[in-house]
Amino acid sequence: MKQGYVEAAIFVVAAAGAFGLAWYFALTVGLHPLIVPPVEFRQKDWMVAVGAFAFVVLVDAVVFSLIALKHRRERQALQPDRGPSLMR
Amino acid sequence: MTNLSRLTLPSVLQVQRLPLRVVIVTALLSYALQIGAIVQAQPLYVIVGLTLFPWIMVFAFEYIWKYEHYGFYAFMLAFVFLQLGHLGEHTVQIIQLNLTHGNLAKSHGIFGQLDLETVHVVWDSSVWVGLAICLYKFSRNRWLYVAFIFASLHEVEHLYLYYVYNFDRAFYFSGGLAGVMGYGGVIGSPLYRPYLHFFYNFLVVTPLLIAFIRQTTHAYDQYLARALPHLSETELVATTNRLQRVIARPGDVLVTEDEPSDRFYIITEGEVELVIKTPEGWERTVDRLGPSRFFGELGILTGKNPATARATKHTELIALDAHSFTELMKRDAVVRSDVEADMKRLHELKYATAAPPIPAGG
Repeated sequence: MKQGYVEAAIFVVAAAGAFGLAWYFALTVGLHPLIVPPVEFRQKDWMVAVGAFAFVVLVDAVVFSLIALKHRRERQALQPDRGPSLMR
Repeated sequence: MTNLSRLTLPSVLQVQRLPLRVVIVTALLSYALQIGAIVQAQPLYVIVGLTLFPWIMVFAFEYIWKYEHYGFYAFMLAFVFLQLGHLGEHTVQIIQLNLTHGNLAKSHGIFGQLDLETVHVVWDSSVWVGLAICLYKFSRNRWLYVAFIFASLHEVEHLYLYYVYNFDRAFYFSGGLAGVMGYGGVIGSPLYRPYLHFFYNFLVVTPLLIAFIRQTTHAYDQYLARALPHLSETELVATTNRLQRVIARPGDVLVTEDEPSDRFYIITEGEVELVIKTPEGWERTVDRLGPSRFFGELGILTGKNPATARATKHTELIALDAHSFTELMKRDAVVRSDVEADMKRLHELKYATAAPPIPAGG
């Protein structure tokens, strides 16, 4: 339990530190020349972003389903005298 | 006779198979290639690629050994290196930006110079897929879920960028390279694209490293687990860290009949024959042991080995010192019964009247 808190604290500190560093560089070093699309064009390819998000969510869902299935099989294997399965 | 290398800390993280001379030759070759590339004024990715190439080849050799001994954990180890390499690429880019006062055209990292978007989409997709595989395999490791979710978000960003780069090139060069979350992107944030991706990588690397450290505390030698299948995971991990790697050439004697053993041996590669001397002075081979079989336990527990163990070919073994083995036997009754069953089998083999005698030395 304690180990979990320590790990979570390490993660939060590392993430906050990395964000702070990235922001610091963005403010001090920046990008030159900085090319930013006009506001009306920024969402020009938004459907592609949604498509990419949907694709990734779909793949992740498959991965999580496979994991759930694996855990279910493991749980079933641990049950003593569960009797013959009628589905077989 | 034998080449021993003592294992101390988590053995999975130590170099086990590479002799020192190979490391030295590799370092010299790596430096030679690096200097040659610098002298020829090759681009940075060629210099770094040539410097790393000999090390990658040599560590592939070590990696095979790790995979044989630690199974899928070795995949995770290689995968952690892949992700650390990606973070390294972004770190180099940040350094380049600092040196060029934020000129992105001159700050593409090392391998990003080849083709920024392609290199990053391939690298990130590999990380995403690799994490999915690790997660499936080590699905009780919570930190892998955290890393996987951030890798997924990063993947969305790169899939979008790769599309814009290839199919909407005009938009890409007029600011579309900001992506989804970059400054001026589809959603946007205060971070410009290279700094945002540097941050993304931390969000993946940090939980991945925590997950890796957690997994290291569960990693154990597969040969040990096969030889002593009733050892608990805790015992397997603790015992693995006390193992020594032993190499025997053909004809090397590992334990001698009627003498005590100082180690308990498990074969991981090759073959060992168990030979006894008959009252007439002949040698008789009573058994041949292959990978995952063990010997030397009787010499520790009774002070007398029932047979001489001799390598018949190049053989690799893992060995546990006598003290650790005795302690293990005291602690675990089930393992003790496994070892006793093997001792009984060997005793029966020794006193069985079978097989014609082989002349000594023949």
